[in-house]
Amino acid sequence: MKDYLKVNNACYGYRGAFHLSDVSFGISCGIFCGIVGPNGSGKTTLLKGLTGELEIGKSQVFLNEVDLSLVSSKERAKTIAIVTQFMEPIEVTVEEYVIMGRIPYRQRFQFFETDYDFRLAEKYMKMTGVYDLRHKMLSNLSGGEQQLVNIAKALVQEPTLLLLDEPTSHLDISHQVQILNLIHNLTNELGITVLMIIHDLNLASEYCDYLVLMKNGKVFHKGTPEEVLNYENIEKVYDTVVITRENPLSKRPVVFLVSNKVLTNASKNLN
Amino acid sequence: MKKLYTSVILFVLICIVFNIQANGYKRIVSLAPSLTKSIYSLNSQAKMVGCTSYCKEATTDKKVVVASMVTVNIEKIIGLNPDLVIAASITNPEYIQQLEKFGIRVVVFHTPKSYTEICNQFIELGQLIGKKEAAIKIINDISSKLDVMKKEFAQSKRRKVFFQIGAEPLFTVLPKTFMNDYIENINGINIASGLTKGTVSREFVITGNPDIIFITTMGIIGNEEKRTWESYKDLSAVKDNRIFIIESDIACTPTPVTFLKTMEVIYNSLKN
Amino acid sequence: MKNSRYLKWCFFLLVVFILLLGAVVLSLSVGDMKISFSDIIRLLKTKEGIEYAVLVNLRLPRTILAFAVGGALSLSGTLLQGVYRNPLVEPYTMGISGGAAFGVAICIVTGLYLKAGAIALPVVGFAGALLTVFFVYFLSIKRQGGLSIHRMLLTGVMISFIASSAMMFLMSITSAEDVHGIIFWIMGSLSEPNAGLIKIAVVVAFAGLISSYFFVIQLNALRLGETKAQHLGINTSVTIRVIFVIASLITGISVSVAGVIGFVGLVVPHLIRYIVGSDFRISLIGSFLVGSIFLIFCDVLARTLIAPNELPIGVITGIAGGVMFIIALSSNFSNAKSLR
Repeated sequence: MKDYLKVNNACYGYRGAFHLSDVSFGISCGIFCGIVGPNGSGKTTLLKGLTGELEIGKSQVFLNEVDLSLVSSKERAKTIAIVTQFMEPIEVTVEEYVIMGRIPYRQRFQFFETDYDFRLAEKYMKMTGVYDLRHKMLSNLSGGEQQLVNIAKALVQEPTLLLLDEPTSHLDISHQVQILNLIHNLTNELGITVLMIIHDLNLASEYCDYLVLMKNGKVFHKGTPEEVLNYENIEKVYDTVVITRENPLSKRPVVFLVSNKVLTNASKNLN
Repeated sequence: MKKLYTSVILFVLICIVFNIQANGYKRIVSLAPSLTKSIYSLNSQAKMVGCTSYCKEATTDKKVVVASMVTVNIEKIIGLNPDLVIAASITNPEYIQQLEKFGIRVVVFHTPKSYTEICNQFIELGQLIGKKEAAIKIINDISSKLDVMKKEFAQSKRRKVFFQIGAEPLFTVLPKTFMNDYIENINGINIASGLTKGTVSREFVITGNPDIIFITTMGIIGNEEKRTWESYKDLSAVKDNRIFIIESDIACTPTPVTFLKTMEVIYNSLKN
Repeated sequence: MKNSRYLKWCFFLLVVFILLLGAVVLSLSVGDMKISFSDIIRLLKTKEGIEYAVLVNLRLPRTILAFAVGGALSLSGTLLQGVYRNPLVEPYTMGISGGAAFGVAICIVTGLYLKAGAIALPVVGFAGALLTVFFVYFLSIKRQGGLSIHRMLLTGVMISFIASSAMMFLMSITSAEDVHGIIFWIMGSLSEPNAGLIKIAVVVAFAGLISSYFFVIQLNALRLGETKAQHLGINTSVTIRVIFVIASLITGISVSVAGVIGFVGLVVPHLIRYIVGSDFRISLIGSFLVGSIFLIFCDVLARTLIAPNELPIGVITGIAGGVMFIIALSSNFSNAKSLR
């Protein structure tokens, strides 16, 4: 199967400062891919190249076999959408905010949204479960609701590649599960390819089909969660003692952290 | 012997005092261009040791500049060792207090509100510099010339006058000022006679429909203002072609000599 | 959704147009010379008499200038608040008024004003404004291209400080008449006799309004912040640069012709945002028209409060705008709404 997103020896980064080193991986269409790794390992840098915030060199990133560095930012916005961790709640209603996702499709002198724009907005607000909130002001929503609105806005861009930068890190467990379930559905139902940065290794393991583990700007390991999430890899990358088991329901690896208490008890027992 | 000495000393002292009374102060600093002008018209410029940067005649004569319009250099004044400093109302009272602390006599001439006050101040100045008679003579001379002009105008019809002394903002001569006397002398009515503040709108002037307009702004602006007024063809002053420009140097300076000069310009303008 | 929102906009515009008409009629009817509404209609037909001259040469140009300057300054404020995303920004935050005022002060003090005539003031004022804009622009260019909004604000504020200190220096060494002239210019005046200048002001104001509509979609996207707007495919650096130039030009022309009229560019954008929201499609024209109405009313007050003397218009806009702002802030406080 051809790679839908192919990253090829990517070396881009901040001028004169941190940048990636030979990052390469490929994911097929409709795959839910997670990017994991410690702080400063280059995860956000990688994403910024895909959104256009950082300049990427030629032939470093291919989307559906098209060199991303040659694509205009407007065309890119019609293909790639990003959901970040927080949003600044501007003084608009949920409806107005979501429909802003159609901006890349506006013609030169088109001042008003088309009917198609409104239908899409309605469809995705319903899909993310925020349709009933559509007349509320953004600032009046909870963090979880705001994130769902964010996802709706990303979806009306009709992207083929959806990027998420730690979308659930600040949310409670019910919203975390709700959002990740939603995203997983998107890959299944809509065939969208998803690239998500996530800190929680267990959530990554449970939901992602493919993982890229990064350290110091390089790809440390890539593959299925079973291939990537073993205690040797995690210890080498995170410099932390862990043990892994299998989730009895989904058979995916589960990472248990080993606290100091347990370590000291264990060493006592050994002696 | 003692008695002789004391009486001699007393006599000398009295002579000195009388001398000063008779011949006036000898080292004078002027802090206002109008006062400098008056000193020159009394031909006493030799007694002037200091002036402002705006005193044209004095700076040409290379008198020492001790002040600008707003700031006064106290140290320089003291260095000149004056026995009299004359100032106008624009001088900051703090400067005056400082000078008096150094024992220098300061006489303040507040802006005269009429021709009569101009005369009184001129005579007072004359007295201070020992030229009281000369001052009185000049005043009488000027006043008689003015009376001749006033008589002529007293016969003619009273006309409405607008006397403009500023362009941006538009500023008029107010009643109870010495410049208002120009208007009185030609038997005119100041259209601003009911006002207490001088910034007026153009519409106010047009509503007043003056028969005569005098403009005293300096430079090109005066001509531009005249053209602007002339664009209102229905104004009485425009119909009779009675818009005149007078140099602000002579019209706005409160001294008898310039007052007469101004009246002469006005007289000649109106008689033609 | 769409119908109710656009309906609200249409209704708003209708109300504003009616208010504008009312303001214009009021402005034409008020003054030392008694000209009533019926008189206006009669005079426009006969075209004769001193009243006609007053109407057409004094009141009408004033009203038109108030319309253009009020609209331009409010539009500029809306544009800048959109680009800087800071509710305290107004056209003079960039130092334009400081540069223009300083230019005018030099012109008066050096006597250039008296030699070259009244036209010298607007020309020099505009030159001063342009210089300031160049400074702010070139000091704010980022290495990667685009403009640093942060640095623009700082440079503008610094230039304002320097300009006002320099002006105070000039005023301390010059004559009382010059000082009066400088201060009068600074406080703003709509009584410009040169019809050509008024025409320029109107043309520039309209040009600014129309050209800003070319960027209305980009402005709407910028509400999300520069980064998020870029994610939506907007070329933010071009947008910010163009908007900055448009706002500077219309402010520069307004300041040159009418002096420093403050608060209009600060208060009206806030008012518009409160009434119709932050969508630029309505707030561009909305702030233009409301700004015009506001300035026309302030001018009527300036002419009538201490008639026949005239108050400088900057005084009226300052007080009226300031009071409105405080009232708005205190009501906002109780509603716990944000200032954005």
